[in-house]
Amino acid sequence: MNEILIGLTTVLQPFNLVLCVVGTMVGIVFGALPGFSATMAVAVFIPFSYVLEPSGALLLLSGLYCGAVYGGSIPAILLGIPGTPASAPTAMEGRAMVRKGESGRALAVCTTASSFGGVASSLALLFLAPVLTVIALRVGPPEQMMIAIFGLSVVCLLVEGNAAKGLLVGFFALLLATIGQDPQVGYQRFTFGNLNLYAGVSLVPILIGLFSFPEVLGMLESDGQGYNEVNKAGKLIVDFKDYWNNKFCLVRSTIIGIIIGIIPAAGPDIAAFLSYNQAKKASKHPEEFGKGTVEGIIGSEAANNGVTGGSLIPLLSLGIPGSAPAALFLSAMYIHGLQPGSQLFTTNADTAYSLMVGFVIINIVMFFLGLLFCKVANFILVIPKSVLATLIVILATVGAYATNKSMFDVIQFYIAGVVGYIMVKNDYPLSPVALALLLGSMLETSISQTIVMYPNNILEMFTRPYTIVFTLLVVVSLLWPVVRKQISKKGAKTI
Amino acid sequence: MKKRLVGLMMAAVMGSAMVLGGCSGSSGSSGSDSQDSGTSGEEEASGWTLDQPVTIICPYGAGGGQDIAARLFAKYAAEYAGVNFVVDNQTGGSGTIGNTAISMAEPDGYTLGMFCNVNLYDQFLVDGVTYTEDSFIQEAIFSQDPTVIVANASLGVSTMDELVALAEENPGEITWGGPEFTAQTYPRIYVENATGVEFGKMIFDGGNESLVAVAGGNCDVTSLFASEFAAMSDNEDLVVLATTGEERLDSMSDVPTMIEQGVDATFTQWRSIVLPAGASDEVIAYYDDLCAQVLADEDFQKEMADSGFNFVNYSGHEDCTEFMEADFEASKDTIIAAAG
Repeated sequence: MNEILIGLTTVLQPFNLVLCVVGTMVGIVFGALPGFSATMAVAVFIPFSYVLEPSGALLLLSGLYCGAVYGGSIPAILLGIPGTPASAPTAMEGRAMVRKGESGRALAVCTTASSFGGVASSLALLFLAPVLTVIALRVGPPEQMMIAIFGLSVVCLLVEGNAAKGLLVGFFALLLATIGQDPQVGYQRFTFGNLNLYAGVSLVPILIGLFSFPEVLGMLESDGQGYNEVNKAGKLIVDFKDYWNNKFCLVRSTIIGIIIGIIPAAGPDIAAFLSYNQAKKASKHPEEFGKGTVEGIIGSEAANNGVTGGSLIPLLSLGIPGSAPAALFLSAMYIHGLQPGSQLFTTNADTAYSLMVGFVIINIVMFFLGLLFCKVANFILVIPKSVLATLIVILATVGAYATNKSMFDVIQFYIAGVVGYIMVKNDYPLSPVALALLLGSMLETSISQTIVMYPNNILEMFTRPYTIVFTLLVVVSLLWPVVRKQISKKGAKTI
Repeated sequence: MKKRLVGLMMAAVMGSAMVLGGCSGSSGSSGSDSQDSGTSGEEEASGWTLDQPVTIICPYGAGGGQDIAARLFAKYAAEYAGVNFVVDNQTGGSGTIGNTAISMAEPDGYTLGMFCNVNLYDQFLVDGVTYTEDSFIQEAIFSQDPTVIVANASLGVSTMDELVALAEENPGEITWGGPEFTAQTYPRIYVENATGVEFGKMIFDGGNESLVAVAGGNCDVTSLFASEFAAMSDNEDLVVLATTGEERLDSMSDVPTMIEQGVDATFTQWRSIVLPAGASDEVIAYYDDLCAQVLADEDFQKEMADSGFNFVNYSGHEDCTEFMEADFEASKDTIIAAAG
């Protein structure tokens, strides 16, 4: 308790508080720009943090991380263009709500759910880190394989009513994910001798191109009317009922986010998709998903911000980053002479606790900054579409280039954009592409690792309790829609 | 009409925000590297000096070991040279993109590279790589790190001998984890080469994932830098078997080397600052002097050590090239054989 108070006093020093606010603010902007990701926000500012005190540096980076994960949802809602891949599920709901004229409500829900997920995961980091660390150690290759399969099963649900096209797209994207060096023997596949493809296709530029181009070109096509169809910014209303009615969804999504955060190799994007999927399954009104429901936004937003604190749990206690931005945190800690591990909480307790307490504060600060930002951003809706479309493409191009400073990424961005536009025009769903690209390499790596673990008989993996749990999850997830149909049929008969 | 006006204003705000964002981004990668530069270190002897900022191409992402080393070097080089040194992370292709960029850069002394000995073997491992050991002029080698070999306690081994014996009884079944052809798996190649045993290759993406797998009992053995291992050094599920250097590590002086335990294998990863091949003698002479000053700086040495590097001091192209060639010749055949 004493340490927490010391941490609190460090965070509340005026300069550190300013760093929190500035970090969060800049993070939100980074997240909101398509193609600029949380990883990039942290990477750009790491050199800055060299000159700061260790606590200040980590608070700045925490603000950037949390802000950017949240910020991606703002364009996802307003324009249907996710600022980061983690906001792709939000885009599906948010855009529909904007069409209904509920942009203010959608933004408010998204901000609240993000902050709730963030605060809850920071509290988990602060109080439950030693307990939850075990998850990171126990989840081995067989379990990661099951999580990847579980994630891919989401495709089936996302493409309900359009199964053939959805599965086709999903399988094709899985093939795309095999481009590059194969994880087992290091052989290069489908690279045609191009070094740029050696490490695989570039995920973020492709996903941003895929999601942004159809929206942008759609805007231009309908520009005959000159303005957005809604043509006005909805009022920003925080309605307590929205959360009370969805309290289970909120808590469940947050827990999913924290656990996915703890598991190495899976980050906010995967958490958002998994949780959105669970929200839809558990919902009393699954038919409203995709047509603008608050539940869907809560599902994806609470989860992707839940990852932030969760991913720092194995980082601080074991030195294992739980997501890509967390990996950058690790190097920032090394730079400042902070050694993660149990000794961090004794020898550098003040810095460690100021980081953890700071995470709670930052997520609270994010709520107010977010509302402020949304209030302004909401007016994007009244910008003439031709101007807006141009700006988006320019920003996204810069974003695609900036991640690796590679023109090759820009080319991939444009190819993905054109392909995405053709897909949307012909009614092919985009989300399976995102899921398959995100999970493809995780699936392949974990399968090959599992084979090496059990060279004689791969079925030996079912001697692991965690593997059984995750396998059951996959089975239930696949069977649930069928079972529910039967139940509702029976219910209808008895009435 | 009013709406259109508001809309245009919004557009203008967005536009300017973007410009500002761009500015802060670029200053992020350059500005902070420039300490107020002292002018003390102007080098008159060689006749050639720097009069504009120098770029250090780092083929790996911000925050990684190579990046941290490059930025530390940049900070001190700026103090001695009187101009900014800007680190430019050109990532992708597992480092091959950036290394290609270094090898193709104009050798005018305004582009340097952050190099690592592992990249010497890219020519044998990656199709399409055009650079070789002769594409770079080694100017300063300032970090040389052995790794630590760590096993899961349930394996029941506590020395390299026992590990080798166990692997001999169960060929291919004792798993060694890590990304191929990195510090986590090179020691495996050398141990296999020295003893003739075979380990199961368990490939991980990177980071410390293989260490988590070993601690969680999902993988048997891995190797990693002492700084990466420190966070879990008190974990009861992990056993330290050996270090891979020629001598013991100062920070882990109770752990014997592989050679001490009768396994005739060593592995160290070293990091260096390089010039592209073709630089003129004046440029080389200038950097020989500059690097000697930076590496002799006690603050630089201390910051390197604080960041977890094992500092070494080889400066000047003659010493460095000799060092590089010895290492390259000693390892080349083993790696070509392992690459198949």
